[in-house]
Amino acid sequence: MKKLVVTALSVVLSTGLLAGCGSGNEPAEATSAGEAKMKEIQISVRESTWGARKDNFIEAEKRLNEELKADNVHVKIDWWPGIGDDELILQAQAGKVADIFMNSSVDIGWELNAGIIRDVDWVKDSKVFKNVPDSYTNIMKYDGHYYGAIQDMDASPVFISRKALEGLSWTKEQIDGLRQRVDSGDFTFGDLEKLAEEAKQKNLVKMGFAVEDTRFEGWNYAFGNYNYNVDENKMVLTKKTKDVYEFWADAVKRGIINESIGDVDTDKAAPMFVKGEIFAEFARTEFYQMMREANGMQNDLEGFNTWFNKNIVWIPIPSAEKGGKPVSYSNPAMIYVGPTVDDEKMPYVQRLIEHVLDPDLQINHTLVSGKLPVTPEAQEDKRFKEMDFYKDHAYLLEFTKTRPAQPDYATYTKSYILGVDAILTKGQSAEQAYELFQKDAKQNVPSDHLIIEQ
Amino acid sequence: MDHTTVQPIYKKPFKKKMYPYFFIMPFAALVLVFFVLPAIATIAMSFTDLNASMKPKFVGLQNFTRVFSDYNLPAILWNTAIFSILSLSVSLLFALIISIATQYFLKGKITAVIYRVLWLIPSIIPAVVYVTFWKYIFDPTEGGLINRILLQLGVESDPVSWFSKAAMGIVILATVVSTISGGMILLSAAINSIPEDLYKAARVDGASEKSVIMKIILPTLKWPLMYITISELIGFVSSYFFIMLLTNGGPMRDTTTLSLYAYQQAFNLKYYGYGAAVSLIVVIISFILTLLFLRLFDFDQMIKPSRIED
Repeated sequence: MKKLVVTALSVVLSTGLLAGCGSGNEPAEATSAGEAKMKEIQISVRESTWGARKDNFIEAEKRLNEELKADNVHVKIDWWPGIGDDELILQAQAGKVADIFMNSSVDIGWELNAGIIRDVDWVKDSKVFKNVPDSYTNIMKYDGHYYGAIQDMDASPVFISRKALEGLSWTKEQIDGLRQRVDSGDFTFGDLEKLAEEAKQKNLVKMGFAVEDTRFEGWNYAFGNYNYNVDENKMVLTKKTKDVYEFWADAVKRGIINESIGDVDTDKAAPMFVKGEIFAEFARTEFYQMMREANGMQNDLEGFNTWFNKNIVWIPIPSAEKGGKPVSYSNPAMIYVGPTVDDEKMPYVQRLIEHVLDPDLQINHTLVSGKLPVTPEAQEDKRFKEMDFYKDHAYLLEFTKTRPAQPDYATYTKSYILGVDAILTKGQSAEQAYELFQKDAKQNVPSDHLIIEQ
Repeated sequence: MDHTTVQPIYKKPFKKKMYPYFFIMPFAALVLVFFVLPAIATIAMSFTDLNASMKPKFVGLQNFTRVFSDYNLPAILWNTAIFSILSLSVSLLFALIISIATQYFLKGKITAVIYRVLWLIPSIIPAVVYVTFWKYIFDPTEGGLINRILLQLGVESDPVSWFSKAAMGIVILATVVSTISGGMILLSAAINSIPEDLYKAARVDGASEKSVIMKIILPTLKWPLMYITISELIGFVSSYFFIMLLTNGGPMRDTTTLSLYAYQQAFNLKYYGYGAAVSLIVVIISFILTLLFLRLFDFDQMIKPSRIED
């Protein structure tokens, strides 16, 4: 009996171990009685179920398999749930990087250094990406090659309380014409500050400006402070940052910004904004969906649109300079391909990714995520055209900026936010904040990745 | 002629000799895999420039030199000291008060049991849920519990940004409330082991409650107090989880402790080599503190067998 149990256990354990050691990624020859041998290609995809990402891959798989029937090839997706950067690095060390995975566009630099992505130069000649704006091409390229395929995009409008503007005696025509004034550079960032200050003084709102998490890029860009040299792929320590800190210090003094601005999460800001407690929310297009939820109108798009048009007006972030161009920022998701995908497998991976970007699938994703489609073809989709809010944002994508893919960007930003914190919580001046930022960035960002402008 | 018979030496069978090792082996293997090897890897890592690229280069003591020239170090060490000392003192004091109250004054009463169970709740709630509770209490908007009360009472006209004004206090409070129960259980068990006769004899001799506590209870608690002090202090010096979830070390670096700094360097910024060097310094500090407290509690004297056993 004892021997039998030991033998049975050994068999089970050995089978389990052998099964675990197998990669399961090798192409297999699928057969069934009476049919010719069908080549099966397994593609591992690692991503969360957020938005319609997973659904789109499954649909893309179906569409690709329809096309591949004639070639007697069958593609099978092996879905892995999405994980964080650290696990990604560990998987790479174990040689278990997925064939396809998604991450932010900002991650190209370190992913390439870590050897967990490979080039996807087919993007250059792909019909899908033929008509995307140059700004997207720049995001997908790094170090002379394409390393990612852009999956979705967003823009960063400023949502303003229409009620507060009406409280400041603005007419309907003035409110509706505001966006045009921002686009032409007639209405500046300073004008927006004045309005927020006035609304706060008249007790029309409780907070002047609120911002999504600690995404302060919009304010940097409004002051022309980009912090990045694309040609040298280095972060830039520029004195322009001081101008932005001056805005922060001034806005705190005038009561436009509260010291808790970085602590109020966007999911808390949404109900506050819906209640009319915030004058202007600097967020991304996703905030539209968050307001819809805060209003309890997830299943009533028409009702929400009516509410939205009655209570909110949105503009791109105005330039700080009169006559300057407005700005917008985004943190787009990219589809990456793992280094284990060889040239034989790549065509199938390419076609799968291209199908994920089919116009109707992009719009499916937009509908549930609030992200914007990336190809002009998708923006022509009937359903997209029916969504005024998203459709009207399409022009922002022409000038929307993204975070640089420089591997030390996070370190640099941490130093920058330290300066902001010093103003907010310690009452320090712009000069002091800039000194601190400089000291921290010089200490922590590797010197060969930093340009210090004199 | 030698008639002395040689007694055969008893030889333990090999199987019996191996028994203890069979029992120890699985746990020793776990300790090796999950503690010893990672510790060796961390030490090795601290002498490299390992980052996300995973191509480590030996850099000698460069990471350690960088730690000691880091302008944040004095402030971070100060935060670590304040957090650890205050958390330890308050947690120990409360654990002592609660255990004396429930195990001496209210001994055997149902209220004592309920009270102890109540204090256990924070330590059994998952950390993320527990932190969400504190975040709700100190939320900087009108939705926060304290702000709502203060606004309703008219004490404040605008919501207070608690995490900007009292971040370290909040972090210590949340940490203390969740750690009191550990000490409370050990101290309660120790007080429970004091024979009832001792109390009776003391009362017959006219001892006051204060004398009973000072002369009977507290001396009995020397061992558990030493254990709690050392284990909690090491825990506080190396803890970062609550702080990370509550304030992430902010505002600025006001609540950044050395271990959180190590975590941020390694996992947020992906400077694994530098993070490992900082974490090694945490280990060295913990080790020195342990030795210090063993000496302070006169550990050698405590482990000496009593004279009666001589």
